[in-house]
Amino acid sequence: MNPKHSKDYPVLKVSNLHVKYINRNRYNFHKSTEINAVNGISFSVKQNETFAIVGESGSGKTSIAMSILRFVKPAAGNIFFKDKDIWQIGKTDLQKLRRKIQPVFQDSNSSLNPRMSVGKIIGEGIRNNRNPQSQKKKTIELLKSVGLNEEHFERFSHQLSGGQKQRVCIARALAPKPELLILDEPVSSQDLSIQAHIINLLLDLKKKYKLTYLLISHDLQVVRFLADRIAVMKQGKFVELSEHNKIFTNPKHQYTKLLFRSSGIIRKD
Amino acid sequence: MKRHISKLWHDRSSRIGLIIVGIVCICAVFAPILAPQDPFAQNLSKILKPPSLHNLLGTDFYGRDLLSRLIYGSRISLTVSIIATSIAVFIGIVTGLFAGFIGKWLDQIIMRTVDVLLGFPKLFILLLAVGFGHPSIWLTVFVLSLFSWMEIARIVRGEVIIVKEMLYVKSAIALGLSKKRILMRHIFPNVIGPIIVSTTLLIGTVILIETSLSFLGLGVQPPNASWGTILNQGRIDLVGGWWISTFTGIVVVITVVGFNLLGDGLRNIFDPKNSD
Repeated sequence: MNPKHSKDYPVLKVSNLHVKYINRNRYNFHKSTEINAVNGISFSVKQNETFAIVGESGSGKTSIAMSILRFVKPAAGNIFFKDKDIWQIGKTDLQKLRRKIQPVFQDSNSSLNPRMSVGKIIGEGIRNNRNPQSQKKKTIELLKSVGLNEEHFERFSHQLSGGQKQRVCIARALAPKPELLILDEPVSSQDLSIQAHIINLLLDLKKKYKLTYLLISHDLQVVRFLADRIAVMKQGKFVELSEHNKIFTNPKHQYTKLLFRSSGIIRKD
Repeated sequence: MKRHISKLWHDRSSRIGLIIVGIVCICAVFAPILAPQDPFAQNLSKILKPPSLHNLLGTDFYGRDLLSRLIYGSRISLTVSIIATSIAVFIGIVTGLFAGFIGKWLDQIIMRTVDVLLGFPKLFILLLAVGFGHPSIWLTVFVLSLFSWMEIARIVRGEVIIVKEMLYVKSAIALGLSKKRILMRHIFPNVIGPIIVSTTLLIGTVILIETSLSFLGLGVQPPNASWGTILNQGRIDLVGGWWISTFTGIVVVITVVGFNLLGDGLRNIFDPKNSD
């Protein structure tokens, strides 16, 4: 059997990733400071898996997402999507590759262009723009699959509720038929009942479209519902990486225990 | 759009601005209907007559009706200002978009040029430029637009840099959309608000500069009459006919104030803190 078709073949492979931010001092070069946001991280995400990265704010989890999405250039290390190094490929391949990795951000407010209707926003991701009829049909299909319907097609983002906005963001991410979704705090800005709806939606969509998720969150409850494997991150490094069951029943690292205790998942160590 | 206009109308100062700008525009468009007399017809029996029922604002040195001349003058003043402003805004938008979106060395070149051009006293440069050429309406338009685009470019660049970091732009990049599409569909529509505001304010400034140039005899040439030209002729007859300069000056002031009030009103509308 070809290893590429095996279930354990990694969709995403990150090896020894470093991300640095340089704080340039305009007047004195020697006073410029470096911040190592991500400090030598390696992991791989298997097909149909949900891999979660948890950690407090400032631990560098979003920087990982930004490098995978090609928004922030890593200082060192490689990121492979299937077998392509995403920072080494050419321009035409990049366009295709980008469509395979789609983000859903935390702030659904600024994720939607205020001057475009929902239909247009989602329609942009559907490649075949030449046939407006079929594009509209596909857009409405997508809207329905995220729990919205035709009446939202003509709406603008200020006419939607927070939960609806996040659903539109998810629909847009699904439009180019991606394989990997990067969920950067996908429910953190929503209130609890909506969080539950969105989490269930994400679980359904994963099955329906055979998606792989890279989940980034500080919210352990969310991670508990969604993730198969969990990495705990602190100051740019993974302190623990384990299966869902193991990590919640038997956390190894002191920091993991601290994190779990502070969110009330375990009461004593 | 309708919502915006009604909002403008509900604010008292911007309503005044809207009315003034509206009246001036109507005067300019319908000058032949509104003007009581022919603005070019000389009547030597009525030289320098003070305001009366027959000549509401009096007559000038050639016996021409001042009111009619002002109404026709609004045509030239407004046309020159609006064309010059449009060209300036166009240049400002294009340079600002590219400076903000592409950044790096292009940004440096454009913004340093803007800095240098803003460093010159504007009227002095205009005088120099006009002085080298043959004064005419088109030279005025050309020079005005060439030295007014910088503020717009600055504003557009700043807005583009803000909008570029918005998550919807990031999402559009992640969808693999072309740069052109991202610029035209995602960035440009979201920087239009501040552009409209500064355009309105710029028209006021340009009217004032145009008037100054014509007043100095370097702008619109007689017998065409812009407000500046009329002001200048009034200066010569100031002792014998105070009404010429006075009324013309008042018209210029009111118009510029009108555009500024309208611009402030628009600024309040497009300010995100005030949007609902």
